[in-house]
Amino acid sequence: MSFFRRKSLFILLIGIIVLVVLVGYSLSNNNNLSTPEKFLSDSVGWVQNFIHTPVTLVVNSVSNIKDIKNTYEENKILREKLAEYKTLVYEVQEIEKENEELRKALEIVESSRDFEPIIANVISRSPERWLEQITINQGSNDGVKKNMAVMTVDGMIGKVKSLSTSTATVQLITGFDQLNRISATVSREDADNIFGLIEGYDKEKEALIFRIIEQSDKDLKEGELVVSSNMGGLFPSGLPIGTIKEVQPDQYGLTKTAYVTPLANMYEINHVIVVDRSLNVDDDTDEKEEE
Amino acid sequence: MKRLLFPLILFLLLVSEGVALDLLPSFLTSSDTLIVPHWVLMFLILVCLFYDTSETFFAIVYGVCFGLLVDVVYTGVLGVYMFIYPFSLYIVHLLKRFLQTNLSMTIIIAFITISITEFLLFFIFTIVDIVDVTMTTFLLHRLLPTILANIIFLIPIYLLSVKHLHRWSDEHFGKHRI
Repeated sequence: MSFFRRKSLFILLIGIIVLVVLVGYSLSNNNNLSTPEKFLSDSVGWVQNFIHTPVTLVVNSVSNIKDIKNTYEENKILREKLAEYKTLVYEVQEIEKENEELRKALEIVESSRDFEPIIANVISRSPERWLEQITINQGSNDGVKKNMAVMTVDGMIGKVKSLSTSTATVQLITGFDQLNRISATVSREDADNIFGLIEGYDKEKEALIFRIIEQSDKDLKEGELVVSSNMGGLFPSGLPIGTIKEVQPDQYGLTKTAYVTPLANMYEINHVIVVDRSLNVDDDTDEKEEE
Repeated sequence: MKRLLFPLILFLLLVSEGVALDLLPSFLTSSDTLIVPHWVLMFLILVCLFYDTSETFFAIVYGVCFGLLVDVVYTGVLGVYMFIYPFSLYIVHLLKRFLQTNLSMTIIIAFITISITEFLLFFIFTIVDIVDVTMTTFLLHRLLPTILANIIFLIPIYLLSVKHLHRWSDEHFGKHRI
């Protein structure tokens, strides 16, 4: 019996050593998956896709029936919108043409607003709820790269954390921390833009923490739209993130912190768009940004 | 073929854990309470109680493999589940000698196992600085709902699989098990 106890204690100690080594390895490795990890997540992703598709079909057909009830009302509203839209299209065309000409005059070819979208489906959400990750069914084979911004039609939801060949893991903005900041701005028509960083998520307030940098204007109003800016070098500018919920001075009174309600619903994500920044940024600068 | 059955079931449970969380209606998932499915662990508890004899450690070996798989696929932090699952299953293995194995006892054992698992998860993730929550929020918003939800899941799979597990165990190890 004492031998057995000693043996199990020995195994426990080895277990703890293995735990520490593996946790240290995976935390220091900067989210680059090794080949066996890629293989495993690919094969699990394949099965998830296989299960997910028929189930979503059933779920969708149920919600479709619900939708039919509202069709008439919706149709009315859409018709009105469409009339507005026609004039808008004309305006946009004019502006686009003008913009292009101005760009030519300034000799800027690429705009940081351009992006190439990759459409993907969500196949699973991490059961470890503290981590706030989802898996999508497009991977490095489909052109997804690390740190690309991910959004739904409503707004930005996160960025690509790690990749395998046919799936990718997305870190949601509700799971962001100090190491995963996004530079964001509030754009103004008549005043200077306000710049800051989205630094994390406040679980009690259910809002993102938006720290405004010292130099910029601080008179935010509730309900203003926060969009991503290209200052961080990672994301294209102009992706909507959320609206201002509340503004607070920080403890020293030097900067202000705003709470931002995300536009996208983080719990009902079905289709996402992975946004590629078409402006070429050197990988070196990206890496520095992360550190 | 029989040998492949356990890994297959466990793999399907593992896959459906992730898919289920994506497909569940959002009012269940969006509130403050965090329900974490530990379906793989639930099935392994049954394997440990009704398939393993006191000298075999199938459940624990599967615990290592599928814990690692959970780490790779869902968390990206290797080693955490891989250590915790076999550790809690070893405790099930020890408890098994002192307790009878019927439904109510299984529920009590599951209760203990999930608590140990969740506390260890809380402990390790706090050390490596992945989560930052207080003990009370952890207890109220994560531990209690998780235990409840997993026990609700445990009861049907208990009813479905106990007879089969007993039979397979008899076939595999002979009737004279301890």
